[in-house]
Amino acid sequence: MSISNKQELITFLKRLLSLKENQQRREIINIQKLILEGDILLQDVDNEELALFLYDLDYYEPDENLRKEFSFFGNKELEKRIKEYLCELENSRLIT
Amino acid sequence: MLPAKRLLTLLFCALYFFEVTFADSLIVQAAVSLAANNLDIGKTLEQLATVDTLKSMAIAGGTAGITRGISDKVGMKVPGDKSFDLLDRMKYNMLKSGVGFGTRTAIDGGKVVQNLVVDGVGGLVDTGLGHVAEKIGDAYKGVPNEGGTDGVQGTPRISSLTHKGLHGLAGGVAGGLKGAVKAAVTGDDVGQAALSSVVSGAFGSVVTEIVAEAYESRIQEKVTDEIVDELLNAGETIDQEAFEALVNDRYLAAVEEERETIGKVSKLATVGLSFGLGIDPQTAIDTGSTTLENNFIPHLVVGAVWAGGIAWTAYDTYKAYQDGGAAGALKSLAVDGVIAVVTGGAMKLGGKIVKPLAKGAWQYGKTVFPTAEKALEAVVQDNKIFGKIFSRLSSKSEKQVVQKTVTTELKTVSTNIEQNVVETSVKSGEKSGCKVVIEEERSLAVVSSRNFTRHALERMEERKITTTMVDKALSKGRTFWDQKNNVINYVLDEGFASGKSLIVGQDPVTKNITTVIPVKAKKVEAMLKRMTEVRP
Repeated sequence: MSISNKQELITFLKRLLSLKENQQRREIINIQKLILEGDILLQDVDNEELALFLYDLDYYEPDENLRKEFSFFGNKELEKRIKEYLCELENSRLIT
Repeated sequence: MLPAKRLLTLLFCALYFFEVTFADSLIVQAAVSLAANNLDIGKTLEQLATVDTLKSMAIAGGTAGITRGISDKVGMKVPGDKSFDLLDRMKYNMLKSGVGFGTRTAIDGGKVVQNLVVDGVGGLVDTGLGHVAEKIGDAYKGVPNEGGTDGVQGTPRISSLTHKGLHGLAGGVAGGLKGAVKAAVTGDDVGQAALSSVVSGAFGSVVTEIVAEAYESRIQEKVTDEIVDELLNAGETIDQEAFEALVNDRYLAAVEEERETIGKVSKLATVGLSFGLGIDPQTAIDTGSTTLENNFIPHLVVGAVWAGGIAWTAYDTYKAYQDGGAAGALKSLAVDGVIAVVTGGAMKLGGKIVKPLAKGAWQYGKTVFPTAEKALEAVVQDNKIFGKIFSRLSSKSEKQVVQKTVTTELKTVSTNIEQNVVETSVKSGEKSGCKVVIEEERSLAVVSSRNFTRHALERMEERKITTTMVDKALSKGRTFWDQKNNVINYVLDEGFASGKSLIVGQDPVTKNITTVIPVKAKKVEAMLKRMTEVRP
């Protein structure tokens, strides 16, 4: 996986929306590893906001039975959050 | 006529004796002069310095102050007092007219009969206007029970717009009558004076009511905050009667604190808005003051009576909501009789009569409201004070519960650690290499106080995080409250050999570990900005 700027991030998130549950979960783990654990900072993106967005996504749990163990969120909420963040991304003009 | 020096001495003695300030009439007179001189400050100052203006100010300030002083000294009822009836109003206004007549005659001289007629008729008109203003207020806000502070009955029967219109009408009639009588005795054009005074009187009443209503919201806002704090602090330890008395006192104190300000601001607003409209500011101020004294202030005081009852009901409802959700809250309201009446009128609540909340909310289950939540929402929205208290209780209480849980949780963890350190220290006396043993024991101590969600276990496996690393974060990490996800995060700075930090989330209630996330050290701080650091 390689993402280095806003446009690539938008493309990734749009593709994420079209994936199946388990694939979504795997892709989220991958991008979390890339952004949160790596040194990478995306161009034209508020990287603090991105880190928080990805941190919050860790409370996504596709399995309904596992969701009951805590207030994890499911697919609808995941879709809502991704769309909201996409909207923010597309409307943002970062001044650095 | 009395000589000027004697006059001033007499006036200031009266002002001092009756604790009256001159500032109020000075401000009003300055504003009136400014309006009359088309905002020309030079001319206004010139006019303020004239003998006529000083006399006018002395009459206005002296009349108001001496009337207030005498009524205080002899214990006469004034507008806003308990059981202030028509006879009391007549006595008060005749005292005011008598003082006005005396002050005017002493300061301004003139024909005694003329002054007597103008002030006498003024007193009668003010009594009539005061009575009508009170009735309009009753129709708008409900009727005080006999005794004044024992409760309120009835529901609002007129809209806000009708309320202002009726006050305008009453103020106009009163202003017109006074203007006509004054013109008749001074030989001016009666028709012209009456017409001008009708408009000015109506204007004064409407502006005053609008300004005063804006202040009412401010008072409610202030008292509501105090009530909520009081409820949350007192909790189960205060009984309903004591609590209601406390709220009533707070409300009355707030009204008392603001009543003078409301009067002054209303006067200034009346004068300010009358610029360029051909309104006579003095007539507008006079009718506005009568409306304020007889309608607004008494009804504000009445508001205090049921504020306590409503606040307690909100608290009861909130507790029922916590236990049984929206349906439980509605049931509690129904038991209290708050939503049992749909046709208006009085109802009993905790020894007091209060206005019904949300006329239609009781119809929950009868097609109007599809769910209990919607019906409760209607109740909350329908009553301003109840709604505010209920909503703030919910949000404030939630924060307190969370804070309490976090603190308790951290104390438990801290105690576990301390206990194990002590136990390990004892053991370390028997063994060598105690430092390692202590670390192990500390970890074990925390391990026993937590479980893992399966979600967290999957993350740990995927991210190669061991239970030992989690326990190290729990025992040594900085702690942050993440209110968005409702977890306590333990942050172990640079806990990995690679320099990465570890975030471990824990449910503060079940103590279950919710997730584990390794994060590059320099990115952690940015993420923690949204969270609140908590210390055991």
